[in-house]
Amino acid sequence: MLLRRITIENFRGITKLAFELDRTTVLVGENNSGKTTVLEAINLCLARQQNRRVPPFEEYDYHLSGSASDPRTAPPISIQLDFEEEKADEWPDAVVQALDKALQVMASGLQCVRLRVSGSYDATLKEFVYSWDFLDLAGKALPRNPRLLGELQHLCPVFYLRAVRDAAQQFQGKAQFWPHFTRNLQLDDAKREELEQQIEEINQSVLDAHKPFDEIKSRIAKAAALVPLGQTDNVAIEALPARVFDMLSRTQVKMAATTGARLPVGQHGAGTQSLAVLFLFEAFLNAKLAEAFTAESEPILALEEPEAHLHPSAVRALWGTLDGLKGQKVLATHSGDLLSVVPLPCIRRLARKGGVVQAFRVNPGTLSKDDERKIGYHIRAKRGALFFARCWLLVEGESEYWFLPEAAHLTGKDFESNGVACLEFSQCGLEPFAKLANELGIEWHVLVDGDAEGAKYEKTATGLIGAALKEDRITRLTKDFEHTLWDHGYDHVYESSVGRPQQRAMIKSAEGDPDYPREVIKAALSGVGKPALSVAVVEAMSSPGSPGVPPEIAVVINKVHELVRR
Amino acid sequence: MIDLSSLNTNQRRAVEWGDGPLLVLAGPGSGKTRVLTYRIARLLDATPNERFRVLGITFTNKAAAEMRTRMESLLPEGRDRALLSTFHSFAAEILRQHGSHVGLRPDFTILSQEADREAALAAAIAGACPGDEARDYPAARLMPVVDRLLGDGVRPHEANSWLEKGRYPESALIAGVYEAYVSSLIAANQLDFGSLIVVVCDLLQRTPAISKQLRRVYKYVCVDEFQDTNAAQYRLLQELVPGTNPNLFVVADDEQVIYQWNGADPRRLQKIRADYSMDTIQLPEDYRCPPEVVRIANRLIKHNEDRAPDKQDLTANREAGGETCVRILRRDTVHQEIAGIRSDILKRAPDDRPHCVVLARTRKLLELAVADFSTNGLPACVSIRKTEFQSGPLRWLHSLLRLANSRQDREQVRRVCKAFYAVEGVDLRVEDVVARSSVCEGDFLRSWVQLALANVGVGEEARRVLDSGVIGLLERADHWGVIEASFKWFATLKQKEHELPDGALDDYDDEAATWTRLQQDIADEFGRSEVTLHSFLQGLDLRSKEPPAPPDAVRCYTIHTAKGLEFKHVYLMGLAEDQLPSWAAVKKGDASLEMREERRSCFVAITRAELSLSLSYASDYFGWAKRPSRFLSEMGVIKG
Repeated sequence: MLLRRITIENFRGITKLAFELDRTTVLVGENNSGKTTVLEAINLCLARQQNRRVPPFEEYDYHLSGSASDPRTAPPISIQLDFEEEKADEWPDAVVQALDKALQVMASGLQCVRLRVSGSYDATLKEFVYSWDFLDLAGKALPRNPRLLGELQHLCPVFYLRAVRDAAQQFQGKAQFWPHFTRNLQLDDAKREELEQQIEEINQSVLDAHKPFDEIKSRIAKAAALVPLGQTDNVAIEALPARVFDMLSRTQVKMAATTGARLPVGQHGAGTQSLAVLFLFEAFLNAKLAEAFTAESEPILALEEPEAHLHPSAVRALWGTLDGLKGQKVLATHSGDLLSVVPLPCIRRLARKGGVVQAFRVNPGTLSKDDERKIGYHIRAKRGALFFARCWLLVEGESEYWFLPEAAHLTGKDFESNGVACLEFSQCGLEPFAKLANELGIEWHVLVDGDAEGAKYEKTATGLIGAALKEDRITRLTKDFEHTLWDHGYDHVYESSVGRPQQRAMIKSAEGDPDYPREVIKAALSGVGKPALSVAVVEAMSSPGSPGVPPEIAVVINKVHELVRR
Repeated sequence: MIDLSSLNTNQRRAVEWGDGPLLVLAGPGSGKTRVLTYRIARLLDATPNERFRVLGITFTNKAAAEMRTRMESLLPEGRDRALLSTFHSFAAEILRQHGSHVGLRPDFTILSQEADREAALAAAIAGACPGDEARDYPAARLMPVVDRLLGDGVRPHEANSWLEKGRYPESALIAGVYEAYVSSLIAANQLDFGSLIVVVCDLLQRTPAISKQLRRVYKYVCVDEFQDTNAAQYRLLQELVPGTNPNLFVVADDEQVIYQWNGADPRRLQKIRADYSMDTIQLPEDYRCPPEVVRIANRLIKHNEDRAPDKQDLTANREAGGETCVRILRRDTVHQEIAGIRSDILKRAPDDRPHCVVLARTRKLLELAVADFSTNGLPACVSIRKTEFQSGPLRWLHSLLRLANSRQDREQVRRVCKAFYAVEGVDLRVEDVVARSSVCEGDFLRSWVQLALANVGVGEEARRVLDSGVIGLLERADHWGVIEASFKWFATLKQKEHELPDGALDDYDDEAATWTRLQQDIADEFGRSEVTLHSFLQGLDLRSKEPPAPPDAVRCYTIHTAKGLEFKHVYLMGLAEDQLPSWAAVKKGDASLEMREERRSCFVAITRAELSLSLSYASDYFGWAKRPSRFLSEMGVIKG
């Protein structure tokens, strides 16, 4: 059963958020953008231990705005999960029979189930009230039937793996998954007794060989005088657990380190621990699904930062494992490396716009095959981190790419910390980037030269601004980028970069001639290249008494900072 | 394994029937409900790992409740997999789940009172007729044709061609009224009994995926008393059961079709046999009636020429009793006839009297009998379907719950006010409630409670019910709490009955017992904690509020209400021409459909008897000389 849509209202930091899910959905977004809240919401509605008597929400789950707010006056929480068939008769008889009274038939003839969990404070009763309701197509609650919630939780169990994965914690008796493998002794009694006999013998020989315990035993036995204890043999020292079940509960997983030494998993590096827990989770899933659920059960796996502590190529390889897990997956990630291998349609970018969390995705049909290919190459494969930016500053070439972040720095602004990413679009074309940014709700601004090429780019960009203001999306310089710097007093940087004879030969005009700057710039570029020239200008700009950042450039820097704050 | 050893060969064959369609032709007293219950239990018992459910449709909620009890003792673990319901209850259930497709909310209500239906129809007429023309079509005049359309399961858009085919005059206008009637009910989030079925049929035909879903959940469908099914109900059944590989198990008795006036039709049995190519098993063994009654019943029914040629005679399986089984009581006038029955019953031991039933073709004769019995020291009661509670306290509670379910229903405010006046003597005005509601977000209930609490005339006990939070309880939809608190208040009313308006508490005790019984019944159907306010109200609307008969009273039933019941001693009165058979049937002649139905009525009446049957007639009814019923001679008990 596919969880097709989730709608969250007034739950923690989210006021209203609704978006569609796929077989695999990858949530990206900054910290505090609601990724964990979404995973928790799913877990809360479907986790099996829930029932109607246990309140699903705590007071801090209510959406509190302002410091004086009180959960009792907060707007009601509502979490709605919509499960839908993807094709006719997808759900087998057993599912239809189990969920019968909760089923709805959509206009398409496909079946769906809508569950809403809500909570609010009832001023008359002076307590928080909760309800679990299945809804009809018009959103009205269907007659209650507690069996149905259990059925749904059985058919769609949620397994939630949180971000913090400390193997020492996870591989022990009271953890979430490990006890599943250590309990339920699978030994017959005769074998067990034989083993326990052998353990006893070993125990005895260890203790016989190790005398210091005798002293301890006799001292502790004195306690019998003060508190009631057994009559004989009241103190025993065990070198080994005497019972097999006890032994199992203390089992340890050891993995060989690079030195060949076998170390407990908790002693390995964080990345290895994280992976070990992930695989334990997979083993747990398979075992649990096989024994506690029916063939029709299809789990929802909520995974938070599966990439935690892993190095980039391990992260990329991880995707194969995740993709192979049975069930519908909802992942939250901060890893550009992971995103670089995730199919674009799976990604949901959560972002706050005007204080409200919204979900963005690439809607089917908006990108052409060619766009997708270009994005696949220029963004996903190379710079997955771009998905995490708030604003893309699209520039024509390398000069701007190197120059702008530094120029921003000089004006006291920082691209990195403000979520501004600078991208060159000349190789890929403007269109794929702008479309993708539009779809994902990422702000963008394009800086083009005041030449013929720039005019073309401006035209393309104008066609992509949608409802946005042109001034928010496009800046066209009066001249080209290098001339802009030249005019602002950095002519000497270019002049001094023209060193070798063959470059000097390229300058035909004399200083003061109209063609002089163009020829000098061209000669300089052909000599040292764009990055080095940019760095040279930046150096000149940061030296005392420099003319500073050209006003046209400063406007662009201010603009992108303004955009990320919206 | 279910123990089938108590069943006879035919019963067992039916119970062990696996997949595929089957018609069980079951005579009176042949244990058909038992067969049905066993068959459902066996199906479920044989498939412990399956999740499908079995739908068992009976004709009354009472029969469904009885089957539920039997099922539970036979196979407790099958409880959740058997849905025992009526056509109407099941239709309501489908609409609660899928009504959004036609514009209904899950909390729709059911109009059970004729006056409410007529008001709705009048409004539809006014809307559908141009100008003053509406005056020419009083609702009472169009109601019968609307009822026929509903009974035939005619979907609103089909009405015109149905009316034209039936050569009704003004078919276009009536079709318009019909459509307007059904859609106005839906717009008001309510339905009547007839439209409940029609709207479901319409929904299922327009959205086949819902039929399909129901068929996947209810893999087996069983119907009891199929002969009483009308066209609309049959149409619904066809939606529930696929044409290919139908697992349809139908129990019927073609000799007991007596609801022709309500749309039942002996031909429908032939139709279902043909539509589903059904195999047939007959259960001719009668375990109820003495051999002599079986003999005369066989003789009587043979006179119906349209009987299926392969229909087997009933066989007697009960020992003949000590007393004379069949007696003829003949008197000169109807009053003497009644007096004769009375003195015969009075001769019996007092604890035998509640096991006596007086049956008649018409209510008129029964009312005479009850009047005579009651004035002459023989307690008697006549069974009537009761759609609403009558006593003040229960009218108040019922309308209050209805108002809680539908917070802006002015009619319920009127009823709450009226009933509150009857029990508490405080006259709250509907207009004031409505006016005040503007400060309660338009919530009439809240506004009514606030007005009541502000009134100094409201006594302490009533105040406690309101104050201890009718509002709070209702907001949490805890109707059980309100009901409980209200009954505590009602108990205190008894002590100050003298202060109340005359008759305010009449029937209260009976009705309170009925309320409690129905409440239990509804809780059993859904599971107590799962009965929401609207399913509770729908359950009440679907059930008769008729009180249980007093334990010492002689029952007086029309033949129609006695259907499916059995009594030790049966007195069938009015066995004269123009009474049984009715005047209309006599006029139509011996070969008419009507006469056949009368004969079947007589057949049903006499086969209610377990020990004795007294057949009585007079030679004069209401001043008209009448000949003895032809059925007496057909039964061979008098010379023709």
